Amino acid sequence: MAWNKVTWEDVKEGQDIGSYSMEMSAVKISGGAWATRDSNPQHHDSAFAKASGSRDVFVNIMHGEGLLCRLATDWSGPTGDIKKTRFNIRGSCCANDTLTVSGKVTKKYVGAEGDGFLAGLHLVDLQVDSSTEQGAFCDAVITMALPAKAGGHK
Amino acid sequence: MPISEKDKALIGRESAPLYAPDEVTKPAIRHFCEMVEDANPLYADDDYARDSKYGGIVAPPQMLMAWCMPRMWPFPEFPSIPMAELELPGVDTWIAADMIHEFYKPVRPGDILSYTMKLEAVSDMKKTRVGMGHFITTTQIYRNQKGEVVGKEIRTVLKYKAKEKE
Repeated sequence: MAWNKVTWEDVKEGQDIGSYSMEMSAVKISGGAWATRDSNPQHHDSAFAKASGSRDVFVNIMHGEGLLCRLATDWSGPTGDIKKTRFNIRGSCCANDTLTVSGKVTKKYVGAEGDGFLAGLHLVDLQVDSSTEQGAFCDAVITMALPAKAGGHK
Repeated sequence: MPISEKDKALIGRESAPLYAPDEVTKPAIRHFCEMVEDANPLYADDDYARDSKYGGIVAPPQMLMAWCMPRMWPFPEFPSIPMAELELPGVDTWIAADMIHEFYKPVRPGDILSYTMKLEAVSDMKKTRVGMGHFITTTQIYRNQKGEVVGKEIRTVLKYKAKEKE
């Protein structure tokens, strides 16, 4: 299988990084909770979730972060490294919702000297949004390091 | 409603290390990727990962928090964490609000992670989309078995009073 390999020089600020949609069955939602060892009944017990004020069982934060980060590396290919995520929950993604995840490049830069673990890396910030038929689910700014033709990708 | 003096006194406190119940494993990585439908070969393909700059399979960095979730049985005896000691009367249900992750070093199969948790802030009682509650912010520093810091997490959760079912 051939994987994408996005190089830093070829990225433009404002460019689209694509999107995907996924049917979020109760199996997928409870499976995501199980895979992240989250035993909160709001992710597997429909009656409990509804009594807690939700429409149904909903995707947990670790699974949600995984769903957004997937778009970033699907776009960059495996040579792109996720360095930082700033993740906000806006609503919920419940059983039988269709989740759509989309994103764009908002910033392209080289990590400054004072930027600690980002110093010297060829970076992009991605704005990744997700929503269901019911509205916004979560969004994130994902900072990635990309391989550069000029070198410097560690 | 402001928080109690006793709760206020917990702000700034940091826990002793809490250890992951298991080492990082390839099956656990695969189970996560299955639910996300993430085909990144660094997470699953031995041959690809061996020839990559990592020299072997790595965990998705975004799994950082999952490795240290407590086992469900037998229930572990934890060191005290300041978040669990908060009184916060009248609220009973947790929900995540936002999270910042920084990833410093790859996490690999065989690693055993631990973390410390520091209570940064507790808001007054506020009205939210799910009910009245307090926002609680903590910082977690994750280390591997060599003591290297692999990542940092700043997480805000809401502890709220669930609405009565109609």
